[in-house]
Amino acid sequence: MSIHIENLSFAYGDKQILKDISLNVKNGENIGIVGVSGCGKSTLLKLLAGLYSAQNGIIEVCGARRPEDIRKNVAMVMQGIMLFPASIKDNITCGHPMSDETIRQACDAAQLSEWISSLPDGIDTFVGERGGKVSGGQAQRIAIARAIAKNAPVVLLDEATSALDGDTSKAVLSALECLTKGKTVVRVSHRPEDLSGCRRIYRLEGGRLYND
Amino acid sequence: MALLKKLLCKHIKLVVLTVCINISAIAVSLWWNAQLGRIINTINANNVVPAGTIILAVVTILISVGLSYLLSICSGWTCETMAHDLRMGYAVYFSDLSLDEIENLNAGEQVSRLQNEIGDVSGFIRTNLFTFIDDLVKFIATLSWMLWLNPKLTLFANIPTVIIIWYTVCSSRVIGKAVQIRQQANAEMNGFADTLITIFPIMRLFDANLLIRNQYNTALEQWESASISEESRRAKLMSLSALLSCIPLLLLVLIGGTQVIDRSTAIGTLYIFINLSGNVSGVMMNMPGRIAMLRRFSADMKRIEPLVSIRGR
Repeated sequence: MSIHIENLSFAYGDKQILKDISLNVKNGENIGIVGVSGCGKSTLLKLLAGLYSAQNGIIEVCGARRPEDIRKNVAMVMQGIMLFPASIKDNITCGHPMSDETIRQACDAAQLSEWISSLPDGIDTFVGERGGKVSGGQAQRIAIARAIAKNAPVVLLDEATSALDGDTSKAVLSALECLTKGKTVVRVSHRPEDLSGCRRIYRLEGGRLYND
Repeated sequence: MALLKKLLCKHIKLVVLTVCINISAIAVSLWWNAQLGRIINTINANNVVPAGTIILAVVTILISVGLSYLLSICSGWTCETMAHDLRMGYAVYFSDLSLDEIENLNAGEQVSRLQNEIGDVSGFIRTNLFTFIDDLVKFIATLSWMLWLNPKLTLFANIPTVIIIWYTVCSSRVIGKAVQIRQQANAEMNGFADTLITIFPIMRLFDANLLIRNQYNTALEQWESASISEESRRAKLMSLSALLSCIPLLLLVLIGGTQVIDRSTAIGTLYIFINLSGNVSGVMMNMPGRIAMLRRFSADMKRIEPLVSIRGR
């Protein structure tokens, strides 16, 4: 079992966000979670990513239960521009030693290579504060390349395709396809149509998870 | 500056009253100096100062003190009223917006504008607006009076000030550039810290602490070296400027002293010149700094003009 959640509850102060959630996701399975804004989808994903600790219940990702161990097994792509104020290369490697071949493959898979080769500074181009020097689609593909380069067995996608326009969505969707190939994937979105390729779709409502 | 004009027009009575008090305060101050000059000349001629003259001098001092007090109250009141109007004008602008427009506002940007541009403009109005007017009135009145008293001494003592002004302009340009570099480094560092809050989850998930720490240290080092460079340049240039600022006074003592020895000028007149030298050379030397401040004020005003609604009474 790649992901195992048992009786998970989570609250921000007095506000209960998730109540008694249980979920099992097998290796290589692709599942989706749909729900309105503010229903707790992103919180559930952050718990799955090891960014928050479970207050009650069990979260197990690839056999790891401690958040620091869970984080090693997870890659995540979020909505919006989530880039470091650094070069494209540093945004992909995150400062970790990585071979040029791995970086190149990640760029190819994320449909970035052609664009990078057209830049005067190439992969060393500075992306700006909050990715201010690149477009939304390019920023999203850099984030995908970062997730590909991490090569984690579990991929979490938080509204990763919600804010794309027609021109860039095709490239981002192909990049996401490369990222999720053969991986355990959990996607969350407020739009059911974004979860069309998922094997199972759950609905998060009132803090509880329902199998649709 | 249309906004400033609107503010001044709205409070025209207060502004006119303050300017009138300012002119009266300077006139009384010059009158006091004239009396003091006469008293010194009388003592220097080994004559007894009449009791009436002393009483008049005491009354003049009291009037001068009273006017200075009135001026500080009036100018403070006027400036604070205008600064308040400015802030309220900013609030009125928001209350007039439609819900759609309010929803699309960037709260951080507006708070930053309130803290920076509006803060700077109201700060300038509060501390500098009437200082400008005061300097102008002081300069014109004192220079005219000095020229009438002793044109030769006035010109010789104040012409070198032009060289000091030139030095001040050049040095302020150098300092300005250094300040700009430091501010840029500071903005980059603050921007970096701000970005960290947004990307914190990604930083943890991808274990990018070392990368961010190195990046932040680089930004910190750049800011540190820019700050040190700015401070060092400022210290060097300002210390020379302080030395140069003594020249007009030294020239006054040198030329005026020679004229007193030659008996072409009375010692009382020389005293008046020394006492009031700051009103002319001081204002001239501060002029580049004041102009730079006025430029910044004008630029800030231009930026906030569309966002402030000043309504007439």
